Amino acid sequence: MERREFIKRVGAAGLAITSSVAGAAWLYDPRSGAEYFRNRESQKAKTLRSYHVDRAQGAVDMAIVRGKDPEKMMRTGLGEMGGIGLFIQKGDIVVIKPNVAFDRPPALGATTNPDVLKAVALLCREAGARKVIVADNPVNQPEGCFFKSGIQQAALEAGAEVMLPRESAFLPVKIGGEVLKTWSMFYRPFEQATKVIGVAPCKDHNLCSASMTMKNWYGLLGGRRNQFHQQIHKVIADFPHMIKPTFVVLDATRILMHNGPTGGRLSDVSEGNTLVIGTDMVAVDTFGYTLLGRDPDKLDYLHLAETRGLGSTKWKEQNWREVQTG
Amino acid sequence: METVISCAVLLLIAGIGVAVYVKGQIYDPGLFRLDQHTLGKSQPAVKAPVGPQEDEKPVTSLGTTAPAPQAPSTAGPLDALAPRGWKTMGKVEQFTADSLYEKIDGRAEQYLDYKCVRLICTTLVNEQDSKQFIDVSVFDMGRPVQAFGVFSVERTEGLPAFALGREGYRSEASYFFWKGRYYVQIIPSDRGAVLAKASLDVAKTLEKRLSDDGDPIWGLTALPERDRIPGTVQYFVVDAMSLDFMKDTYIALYQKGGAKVMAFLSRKPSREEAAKTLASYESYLKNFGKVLGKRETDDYTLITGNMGGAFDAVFRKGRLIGGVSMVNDQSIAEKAALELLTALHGKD
Amino acid sequence: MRITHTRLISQIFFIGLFLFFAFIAQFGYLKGYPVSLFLEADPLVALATAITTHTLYRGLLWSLVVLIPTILLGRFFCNWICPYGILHQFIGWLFNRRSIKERIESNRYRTIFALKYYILIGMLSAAAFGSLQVGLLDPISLFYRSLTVAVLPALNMATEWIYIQPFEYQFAWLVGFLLFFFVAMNLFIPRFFCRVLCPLGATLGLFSRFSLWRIERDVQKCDNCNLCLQRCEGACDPHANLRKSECVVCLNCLDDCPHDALSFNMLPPVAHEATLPDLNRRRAILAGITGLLFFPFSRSSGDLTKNFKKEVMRPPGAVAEPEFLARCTKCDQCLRVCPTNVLQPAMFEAGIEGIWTPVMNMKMGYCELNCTLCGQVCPTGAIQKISLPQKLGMGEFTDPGPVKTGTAFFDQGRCLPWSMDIPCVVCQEVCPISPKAIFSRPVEITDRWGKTVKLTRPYVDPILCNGCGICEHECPVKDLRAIRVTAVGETRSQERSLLLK
Repeated sequence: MERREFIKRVGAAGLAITSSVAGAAWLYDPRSGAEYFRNRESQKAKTLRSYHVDRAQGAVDMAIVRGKDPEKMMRTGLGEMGGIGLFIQKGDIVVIKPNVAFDRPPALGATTNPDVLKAVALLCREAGARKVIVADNPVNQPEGCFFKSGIQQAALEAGAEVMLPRESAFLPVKIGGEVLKTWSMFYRPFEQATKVIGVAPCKDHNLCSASMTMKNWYGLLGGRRNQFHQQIHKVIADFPHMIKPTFVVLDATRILMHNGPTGGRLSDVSEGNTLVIGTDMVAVDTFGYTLLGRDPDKLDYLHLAETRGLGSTKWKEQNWREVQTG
Repeated sequence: METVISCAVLLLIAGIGVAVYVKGQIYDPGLFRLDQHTLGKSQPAVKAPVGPQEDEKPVTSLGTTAPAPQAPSTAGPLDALAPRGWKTMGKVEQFTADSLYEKIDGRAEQYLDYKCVRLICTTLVNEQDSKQFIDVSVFDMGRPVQAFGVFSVERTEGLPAFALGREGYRSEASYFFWKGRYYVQIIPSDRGAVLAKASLDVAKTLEKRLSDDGDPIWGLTALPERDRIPGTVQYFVVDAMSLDFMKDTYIALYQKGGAKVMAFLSRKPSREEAAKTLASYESYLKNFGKVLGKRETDDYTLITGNMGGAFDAVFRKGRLIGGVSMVNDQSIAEKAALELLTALHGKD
Repeated sequence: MRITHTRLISQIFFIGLFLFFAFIAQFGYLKGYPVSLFLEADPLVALATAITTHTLYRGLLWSLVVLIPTILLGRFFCNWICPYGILHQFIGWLFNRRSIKERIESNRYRTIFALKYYILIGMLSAAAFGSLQVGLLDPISLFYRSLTVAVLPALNMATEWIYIQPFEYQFAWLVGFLLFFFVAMNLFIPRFFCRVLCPLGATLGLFSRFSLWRIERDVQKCDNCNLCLQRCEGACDPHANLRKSECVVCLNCLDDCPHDALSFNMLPPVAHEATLPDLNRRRAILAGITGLLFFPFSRSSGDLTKNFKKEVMRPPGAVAEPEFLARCTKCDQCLRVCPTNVLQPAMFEAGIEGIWTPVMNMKMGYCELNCTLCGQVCPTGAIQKISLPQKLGMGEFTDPGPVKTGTAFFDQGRCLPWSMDIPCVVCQEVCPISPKAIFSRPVEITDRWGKTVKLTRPYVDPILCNGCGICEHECPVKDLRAIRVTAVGETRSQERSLLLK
């Protein structure tokens, strides 16, 4: 046969052999069981940056606002702290994390008051935020929760976008806490966020006694978060490791005094007519616990967080203001 | 030909048979039984129970009974730190901001300025020679910028850098470094090879145990790196350059030609605050020296002053205050200040 | 010495070796023998797992030893080495009472032989998405599985040669039947399985296109008597244009040709051969689409996620479920080597993808604490090779802790001390962990006759329990045990964990 034919056919066989060997060498994985399982644990987890804003020494860290008009209360409260402009600047992408955990109407006090959410979102837009995202990972079905709690409508009216917790939006995130090291989190809202605001209702809780601004961040986690109840106080004290928000708002316009965190009857709810805005979650929650008529000295997670240097329960010694609006 | 191939194949088959048999005799007996060696190394076969226990003593994963907790009952980074041949003298101690002075007296003030949250410390002593000991102190400063700050102001110029944590240096057999929100000092009782090696061991072990959120330090990236002398950046919470109006300020030394130039930079919460600081600086120049010139543009305001032979050039750009101080040559001072200004474009 | 005699010796050697491996894959005999060698040398297993996992696991590198000579010589593996092929050939030879004319007709090429390529395409298409189904028809896996699940237990019934106590496997009747069926089909179409169904044969057939050697017919000498087809194993048309993808290099035709017209030569002309298999493009695409759709349809059945079955407890060292289904070839070697018979071949418990994959059934056995044999023999890493210290969480593995395959739960209504005033706690006695994962509290009760009875009532400690199941296995309530282990608390999967670490 011809030389060319010979070379072509031998060459083809040679190429087939070489590619098989090369493919095998490239894909070869000699790991034993010890290495396989060890590698699995060190996945590439994302880390949230700090959304904390530096302000001058002497700036007001906590504002307690009494009143009935949430928008007025927010303006006044933030005004006491130096104005929204100190926190949100032009071009910011803001993520607001309300509590939309249950499909209840707002009057039952189990979720964030939609008027408060609307006020916060409006203020952010006024300060020049390029985008405001409202996000939460509810316990009940997401669409139902956002609709019945009124948050969806509030976001729409304030020009904010609601981001629902789709499966692909979750990624492992470094928590850096003492119990939680890495956990699946609703990460997509934070991909481009430059500022983060937590807006939490003030609620009685059957397991950890009260659900306020620190516990609010529980709602971002996914996976088997139903295991947190096994060490609930330590886990709540881990949340300030995970996220350092720009500021938090404790929505005590309605306070769920009994049967929390879900409530269910109007008689469980009392008119709180208060908003607490602050940069230190521990301080805000310490004061918030008194709104439930309880003694903050007895709330474990506050003290755990304080010991870890994540905040201070001694809000009275810090810079705070209390104001009355209409 | 067929015979040749046949023989080759038969030989190959025989070879495979022999190889299989031989392989059959070579194996790890540990696959079929649990050997004593592993048994001896284990403590309880499982990790310490986390929930409420019955009447068993609490056991840590390191196999030692947990020490009686002083403040928080979580295991700290200084537990079981001693390298081989050393042991912890007494207990690991913890001090909060309120009780810090009990341990370090007047030095506490500086750490409190930098918002120290707590101090965890212990002493390790050489089992062979009890005169040799190492003091280990871990300051939890709350945030990385505070840890960096206190690290930077304690560091003396000229000491060789050492790769520990985010930044570290060695002084004889002592190691100092900061990582995340922690500032660590490892100080042995004396010099010498034994102490140096033990200190290094301790430093490396401790460094691995401390976590770091990765929060960046603004000043370290804002201050330009070109011509910056490594290891000279410092962060002052108050009284930078001994000026009471200079708070929250970064300082660094630059090599500009033959001269060493001290540059400073601070980011104020607002333009108004920055303007106030600039005004204070200007008064200071007027009162203690002479103002040479003031240039105002849309972008910045630059003031040059003569402080009795040494020149200062300070500017405000947006909410940033920066400049150079105590430079011997006026033209070098002004040039350096302008270079700094240009490098800060977009960082306010 | 004729080459066909050498081939015969090779066949006897390799099927003997395969059966030897199947016999000695047992505690006490195993020693260091490379019992997984045939599976590791199987190019289809290597190729398919390389597609599903993007890696080539350890021993699968041996597949190159089969693949490279195939690229040069053609599908010699099918006839010289493959134990399943050898079995078919042997049974066919044993029971074939056809005349020469009938034999020639039975060895002609049929278009149905293209089916194995479509099967291969479908399986590789499913593999591209991470579902490994080649094990259903891969001959080595199939044969090994049939031996483990059906043949050896049946043999043991008659002779007691294999096990100490008889081993039983669920649905053994189905596996046995399929083995019998495929082998019996040889009486209709010789080497039915190899020609019509075998995906490994199809893979090697595709690689044969590069082969430099093949059977060559000298047209001058040939008088078209077709006698070469008498004992042609591959039904590859040696009397016409040789079908390279079907020829299994049995070399019988060399012996049978009365005119000496056939020889095995290097690079005969391409014009006189059929290099590629005869495939209908549309059917090939249909096969591909079937495999493509198989993955989303089977995963949407929910068996891997929220609706996972509590019975699906995998062996210790198993990887998390989605990856498990991408690695397990259903060879059932782990079943063979397991000393307690706890591993059973699943039917639909793990979903349709999990047929014949190993699941633990504590009524049959339990997971012996100081044993990791399953992981040592798994050829694809569906069960990783873990050492005993790693399984027990000792020594350097104290921090990650022991491997857990499930958690035990009491059914107090069935438990003797809990609801029947009868002392027991066998479960606590046999729990092999120290401190025990079953603890008890003493209680004194007055029984129905007025007598005081002292009982100890057992409880499970979920932190310590590793799901080995010996408690369930030894529980005297034999029909539905009073303590049962289920697939929660597994360390291989965060999804199925029970406790917050």
